Amino acid sequence: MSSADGPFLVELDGVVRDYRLPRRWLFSPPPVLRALDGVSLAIRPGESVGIVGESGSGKSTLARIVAGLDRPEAGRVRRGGCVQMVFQDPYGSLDPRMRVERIVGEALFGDPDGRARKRERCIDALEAVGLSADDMRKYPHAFSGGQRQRIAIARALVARPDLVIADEPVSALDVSVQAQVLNLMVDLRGRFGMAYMLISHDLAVIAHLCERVAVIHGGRIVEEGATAAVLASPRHQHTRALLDAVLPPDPQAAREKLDRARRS
Amino acid sequence: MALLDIAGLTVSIDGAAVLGPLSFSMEPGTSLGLVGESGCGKSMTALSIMGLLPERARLAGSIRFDGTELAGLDDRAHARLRGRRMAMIFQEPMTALNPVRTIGDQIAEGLLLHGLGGGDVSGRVADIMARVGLPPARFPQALYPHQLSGGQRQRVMIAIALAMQPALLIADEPTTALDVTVQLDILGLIRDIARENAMALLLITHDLGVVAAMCERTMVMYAGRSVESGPTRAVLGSPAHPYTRGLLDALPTGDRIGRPLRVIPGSVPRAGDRVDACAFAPRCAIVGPVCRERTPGFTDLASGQTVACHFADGAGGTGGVGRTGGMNGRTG
Amino acid sequence: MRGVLDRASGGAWHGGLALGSMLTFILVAAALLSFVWTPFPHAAMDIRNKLAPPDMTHWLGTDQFGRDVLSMMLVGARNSILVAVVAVVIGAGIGIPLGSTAAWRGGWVDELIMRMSDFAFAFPALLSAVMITAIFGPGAVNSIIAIGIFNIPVFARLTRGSSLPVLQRDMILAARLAGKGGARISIEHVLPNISAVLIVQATIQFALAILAEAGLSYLGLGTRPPEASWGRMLNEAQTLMVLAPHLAIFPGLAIVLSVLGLNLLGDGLRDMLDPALRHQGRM
Repeated sequence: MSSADGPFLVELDGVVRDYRLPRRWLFSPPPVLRALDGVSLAIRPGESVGIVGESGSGKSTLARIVAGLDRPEAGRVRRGGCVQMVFQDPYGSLDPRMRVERIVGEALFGDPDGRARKRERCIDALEAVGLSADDMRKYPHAFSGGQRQRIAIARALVARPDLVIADEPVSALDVSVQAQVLNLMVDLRGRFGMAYMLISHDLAVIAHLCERVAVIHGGRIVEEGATAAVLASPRHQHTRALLDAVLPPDPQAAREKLDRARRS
Repeated sequence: MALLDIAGLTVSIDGAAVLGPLSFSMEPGTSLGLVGESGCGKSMTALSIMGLLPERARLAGSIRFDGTELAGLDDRAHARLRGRRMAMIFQEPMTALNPVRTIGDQIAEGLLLHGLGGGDVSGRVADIMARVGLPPARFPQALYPHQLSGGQRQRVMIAIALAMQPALLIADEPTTALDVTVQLDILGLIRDIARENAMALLLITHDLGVVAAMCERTMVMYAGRSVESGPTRAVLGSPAHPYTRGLLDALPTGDRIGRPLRVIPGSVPRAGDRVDACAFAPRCAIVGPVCRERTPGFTDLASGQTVACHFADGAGGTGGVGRTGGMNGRTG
Repeated sequence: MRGVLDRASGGAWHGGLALGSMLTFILVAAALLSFVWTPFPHAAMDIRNKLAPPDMTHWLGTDQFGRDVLSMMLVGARNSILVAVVAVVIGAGIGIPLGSTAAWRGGWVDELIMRMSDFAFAFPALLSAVMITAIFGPGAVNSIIAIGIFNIPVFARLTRGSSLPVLQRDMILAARLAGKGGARISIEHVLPNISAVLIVQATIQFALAILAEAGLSYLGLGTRPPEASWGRMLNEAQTLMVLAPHLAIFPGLAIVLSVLGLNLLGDGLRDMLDPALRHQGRM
């Protein structure tokens, strides 16, 4: 399961995705929402790419298409490896009726390994995210939000992915726990060398993890480049708006930002 | 006289203590930020003041608002006070607005409650809507909440609060459910409305950047108690409690790409797990034996902060014995 | 004030669950008992002893042919349960897969299944059962099928409606990412998460099926002689109301208490398994 065909793990070319909305009148054609409007994006093995955008920008649709959970109307998608996902809501992403062993083991569905070997791999994955073999028998409700997100990461990890798509992986977590999960993600990349596609509305989170960032707005990628460069000198006005919206925990600077926003 | 004076407030649900003891006060026209993570009691504090606690909750201690004791006040009297003297803006405006009434109607209700409508209620509503960034040309009063975006609905909530001309405005995570680019507009609007109308603003948030921009004073809460309070500049600039310091350090700032963030180990304690000790001790970097034996009292620092830590003064184990109060309204 | 009412009704709920479990237990125990023991053979006639009021020999008296009422009641319980179980199994066995398919597939499949169940819903269930048994002839099997058919749309709709929010959760995406198909995801993820509502609905449909069976038998379209049935006992008793009121009272009471017990059990289970459902109406 490695990228055999070409230097890219995932390659999107001119991807378009429409959603049909409920029709307004009985006989009118259903209105169409263009969620993605000609998106091209490539991710190399071991690379971390951030996708930043607001709700409705198309970033979650993009994640599903890269993961193969959704098909584009037009454009090409090429995938050269195992893709796994980590989701935003650590409550909705783990089945409350399943024990951790089954939740993590689910990612090995269709894997040729035997049961005992699969079990070992689950334990390895749990230990890699800072949980233990004892946790295999527990149900999700026994864990805090941060621990649940670790279980979700273990589920992604156990399949030995080449790419992990993380859709807002820390935005539902407490501030003090966000840092733990972000550190874990950095640590796992160092150990297993997978690529990340990190989707977030928070530029600081993306900047922490990703060397490259793409800004998505209205279904299009409006700016793309090295994270440091984009943060330092944003070219597109939407990128600038996103950067301006970040309030630092410094009263002087935060108030100035707020005043500037009020005047404009 | 303080507008709001909370002393020894505790709330328990089904016998489990979820808040307090908590004490603080606010002067008219000042702003205070309550900061903390999930389950720290910040929203419970707001609900206690508003008289909107769930039925199963038991409240003890004192909440004096504008000279009236709210603890033990019956529902109807509390509702009357709530309508006239205090208003609240919620995280999710869609659930706080009535989906089957027009926004004009809902804003007018606050005016009528005060007899402020005069002859021209509709004109007054239009003025208020224009003030909160919903100009009548584009936003007729006959619109329903579902026809608006999240940010616009939050503007309607602010308009309703403005119509009531409350002495105290409580905003509970007012921008958490909104897109980041809308956040600044809404925050700025809340701040300006509060300032221009001399309302006291009690802002509840998990976001240190939001309190930094909005509030003169800040109170950091953990496990149902205040751990540190004081002028925002001092609390965020030179945090004295290890929890506040940890929160600030844990924020990704983007200038140390790929390097590990400093972390507060463990996770937030669940409600009801309270013990006679410092609740932060299991996660604390500077924990000592005393932290596991006694709940720390409050220590006042020269910088204006009040800290609940045994090691606040650098010595350890001696801080503020016996005092149960929190901060006092020194912003005036 | 509202809280007080909540607590009061909460207390009543638990009492309801206890009473419901007790009544249902008695019903099931009576049915099971009839397999191994009845005071008399339920179809044995004893003309000399006809229309006897309850006494030490015939605890609940005898009917116009001298058959022992208690024995007939016990066997009747067995038949009621049999019909109800099979009818609910038919309804759930076909309705749940249909509802799951509709929820998972969406689009025209969903439309088709739901419009079909709308169509079935449009007919009053009992009248349609009367029609079916009138066409295909009376008898226990036909009444089972007739009642079962009208349970299908109930389960199909409930399954579809409860499945949709579960299918929205990210855990379903995770399962799809692992390569699982619709049927497997429905069985492994969706059904366990909606089992509470389905169980509650099953007890309520069970009660309705008992009522429907009694109704059909009362009309002479259900269980046929010599098998005993509460509905037919009521029918036979109606001309003798003045002469021997006990013939109508006991089967009538049995029907009322069984249906009441099952409904209380269903409501109690709803409360216990899923507090969020408490104040929602039932189908």
